[in-house]
Amino acid sequence: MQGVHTEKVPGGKLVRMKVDFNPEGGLIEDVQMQGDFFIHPEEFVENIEQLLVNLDQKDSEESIAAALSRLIEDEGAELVGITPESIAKTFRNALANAIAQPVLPQ
Amino acid sequence: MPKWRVIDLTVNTAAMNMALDEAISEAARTKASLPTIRFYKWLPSAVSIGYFQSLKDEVDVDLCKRLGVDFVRRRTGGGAVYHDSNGELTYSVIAHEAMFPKGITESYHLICGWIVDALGRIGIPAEFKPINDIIAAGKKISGNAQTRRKGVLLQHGTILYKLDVATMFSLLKVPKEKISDKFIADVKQRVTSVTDINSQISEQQLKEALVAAFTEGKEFEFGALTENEKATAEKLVKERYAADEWNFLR
Repeated sequence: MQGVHTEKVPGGKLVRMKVDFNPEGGLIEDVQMQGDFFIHPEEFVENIEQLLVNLDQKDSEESIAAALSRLIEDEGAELVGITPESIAKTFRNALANAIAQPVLPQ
Repeated sequence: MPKWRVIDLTVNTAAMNMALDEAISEAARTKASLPTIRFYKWLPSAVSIGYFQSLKDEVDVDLCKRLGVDFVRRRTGGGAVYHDSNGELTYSVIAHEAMFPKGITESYHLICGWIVDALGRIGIPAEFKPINDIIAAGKKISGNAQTRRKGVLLQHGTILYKLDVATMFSLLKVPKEKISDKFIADVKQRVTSVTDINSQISEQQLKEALVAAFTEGKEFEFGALTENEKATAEKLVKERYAADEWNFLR
């Protein structure tokens, strides 16, 4: 199931999260983060996506934001137009949308 | 004070324009080339998208193909831009990071200040609007995007000369039902161009003002691309900017 959510960060840019969730194993299988924000270096977006893929579906918005802040600081990356909090919020909403989708009969 | 190379207006395909920015960045990194200011246009007209955007979500690719409009993913973040062959000028500034303020916003402010100066020279009062825009008469007239790699700063941006809102938003994905007369009127409340403000200003005048403002106080020479830059760019066109793997990356 794929869930999508888009947020306009106040005073910032647009961030859209696409989350693929497998209800059978309860696993987040893929996360794509898109939008008109800036991340320096650009490839760091993949580090963010990998962190999000490896979260538990029950992790709170606050704990996700804290994990993102640590990752950003450790790697010396710079975000412009988005924040760890806005990424966490968009991700949580996209994941909730993915989980809420009915499983269609094969 | 470092000397700059200024490459006067050239016209290229979308893939070549993005490849040239990268080839020049590589040459500037190794100091094979001077720090460079470059002005260019896009032929055919093209849509560029930010590094983090989804081409399919942002652009009507089928319509681009039907109309012969190019599309390309930039290596800078930011939003989708319609580069009308007759409606905008694009610039790039490529130099070692150490020549600019460390802060991203501060360096946007500095380089965007050159555009504000250029617009002032043709009688258009404008101002920098963080994060990366320039506004005139309260509306966006220029969008800019920056990346820093291997110690080199690349900032490129567009200065709108003549607006074609209907074409712009048929190529950029907004729900078709939204492209009504009202939608177009709404966009015109938020976006402007040099000729919207003063229809008497020629594209040549705009370009000359940009060259004058960008080189103000700098030691510089007009120069051309090196053979090495051209060859690197040709390679990058094939391997990256004209390749679906890159353009449809997200």
